[in-house]
Amino acid sequence: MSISATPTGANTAVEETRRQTTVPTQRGGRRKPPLSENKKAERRLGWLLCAPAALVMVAVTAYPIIYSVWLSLQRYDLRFPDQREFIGLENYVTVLTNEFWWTAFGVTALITVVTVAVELVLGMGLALIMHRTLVGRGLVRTSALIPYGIVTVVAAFSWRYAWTPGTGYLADLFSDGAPLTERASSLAIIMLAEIWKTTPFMALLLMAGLALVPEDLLKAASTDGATAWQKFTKVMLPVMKPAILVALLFRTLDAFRVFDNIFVLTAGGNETSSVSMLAYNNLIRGLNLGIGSTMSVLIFITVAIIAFVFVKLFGTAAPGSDDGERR
Amino acid sequence: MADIVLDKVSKSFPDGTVAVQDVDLEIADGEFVILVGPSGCGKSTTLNMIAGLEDITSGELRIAGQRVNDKAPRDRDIAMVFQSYALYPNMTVRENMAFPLRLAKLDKETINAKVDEAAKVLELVPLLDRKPANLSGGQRQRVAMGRAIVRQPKAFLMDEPLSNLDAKLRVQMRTVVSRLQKQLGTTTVYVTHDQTEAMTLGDRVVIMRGGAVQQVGPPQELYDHPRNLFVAGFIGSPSMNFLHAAVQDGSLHTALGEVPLGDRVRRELEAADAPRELILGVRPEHFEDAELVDEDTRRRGLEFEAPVEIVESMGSDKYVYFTVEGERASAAELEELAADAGAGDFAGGGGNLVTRLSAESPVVEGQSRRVWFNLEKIHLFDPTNGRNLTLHEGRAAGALAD
Repeated sequence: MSISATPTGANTAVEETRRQTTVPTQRGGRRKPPLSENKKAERRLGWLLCAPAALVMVAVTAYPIIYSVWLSLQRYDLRFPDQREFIGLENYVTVLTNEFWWTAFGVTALITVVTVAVELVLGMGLALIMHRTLVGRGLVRTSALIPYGIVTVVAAFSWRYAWTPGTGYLADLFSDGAPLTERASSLAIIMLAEIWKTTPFMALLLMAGLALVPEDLLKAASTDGATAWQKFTKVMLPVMKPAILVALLFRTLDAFRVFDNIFVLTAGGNETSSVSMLAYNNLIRGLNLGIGSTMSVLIFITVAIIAFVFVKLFGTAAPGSDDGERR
Repeated sequence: MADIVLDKVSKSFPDGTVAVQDVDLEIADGEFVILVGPSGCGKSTTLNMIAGLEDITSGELRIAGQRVNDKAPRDRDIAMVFQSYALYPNMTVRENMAFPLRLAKLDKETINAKVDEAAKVLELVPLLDRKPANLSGGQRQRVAMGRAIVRQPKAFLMDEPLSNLDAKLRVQMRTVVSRLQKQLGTTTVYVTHDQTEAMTLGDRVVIMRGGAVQQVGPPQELYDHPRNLFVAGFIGSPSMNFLHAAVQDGSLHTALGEVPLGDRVRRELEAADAPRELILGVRPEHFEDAELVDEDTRRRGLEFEAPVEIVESMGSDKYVYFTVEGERASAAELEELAADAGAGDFAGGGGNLVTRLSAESPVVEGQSRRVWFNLEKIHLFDPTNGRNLTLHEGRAAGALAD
């Protein structure tokens, strides 16, 4: 993104065409030149330096993942340990044909889409405010980040009390029933709690992206005749795109694993369970390691697919590159 | 196309700093005006105010006779070129150049025609489908220029557009800018800190210091008739030599000898509040090897002898550095200039004198040499306020004028 002076000299049109014909462009032949000894040594050193961290990662993530995949292929219920048996993909068939799973999946998808979308809009607004504030910048940023600093469970409890008829001020203010006992209003409150809590995080990530937009670019757009909105959509957003995608990726993955707010607010009642909630209920409460693990693996796969889609998007959308190659 | 008038334009920031103070400037239609000065002199702020990127604190700015103080940049119909080029990284060269036209809601065919035409002028045709990241510095610079010219705006504003280029390319692009401006005849305001660029490019040069205009005029006039010490020291490379001079009995005591004074300067110095100490300014090219000066010319100047420290042969002539004794000239302006040149904390060779002698001069490093300098071309400055005392009705006349 940085626009640096490359002292290669101004090429006239003639020189330019000559250069193009002699040197195969990146777009044409994508052959990489063989690595020099120096480069190879550098690469080896890179791997060596990564190795300790990579080993720790394998120990704490790869093992549990493999273990839960192994569990998901077995009939394994701690209440009937004698019936433990390898059953292949039968657990997956059970889960994927189960109506509870799909309800929970739908709830999770709804929460994910709605919260991430609202957070993106609100977070962008908040980021712009924090970025542009001149007076009391520290105060504005600190107060905006407070919700994110509160432990989720604590925040969730305060939401629960606020919506409890009789004791809560919100319940008295906005409804005459008990909103946490009905499905639609419960979901709305869960999403509200999620949005309230994680918008600051989104704003923080987006603010980092805003800092990437050079001041000169906005000035140039102003003199080129852009309105404030056009500057935002045509100049800022494209430059910020990688930061926005990172923020969306982080938040989507997070939102899809939503658990604590639901656990505290409804405990999954009235069909408000998320997939994580369902997996927890089967695995920890129901002691059904086989089915619970199957659900965990399915969540893992879904999250991996989301991540894959996002990363693929990055690859094709990095600004300032013609064919999306990393520089 | 339009004229631009700055009428007592000032800019002060909320914290109280005054960036630009009462700038009066009339830029004629089609004129090429350079704002030049050391960093922090307010030249970029002035340009930004013309562009509408900074608010004007007081005063009036008129473009084509119309007050534009409160107009947004997009309503001023000006185009700006930035030092960083400010190309949109997500757009190709073609899209970058078409951007202002697209915002102006022109139809596709017109846009394409205009972009193609500008690309042809700037030899950008083979690059139209590339992204800025895949261009060299010089190419990006041309795209930035292209984006400015496609619109045929009322004026071009350029903020150090060549400063990010390497030296050779800068010289080349200088001629491109110059030719383009003449071809299009568009009013141009160009900001630079490089006095060479200022001298070579503009119809008129505005020298700024500390937010105030020091002098406005064609480059040669600023060079020959600097109004004050700052202008004299800023314009010219190598810069003017400044020496301490004491007024005594109608003549001047300097390290280069006794300088006689003409009637006019003497009268000036007879005033009650006239300074007793002056600063003598001599440009390097007004020295010559005494051997190479004929009798007639010799009478118009003064000779002195000094040890040669360094000889730099440029081929066409020689830069010879002499060591001269005596007090260093000191004034706030000179310190500022030294600081801007990056030599604020570096006293260098004390009373060194830079001279430009003929290539035929047989000077040798380490030996003494007799040197002549032209008294008609010297300047005398009042160190307290920097005023050029040799200036009469805007013309510098040297020390001997009657």
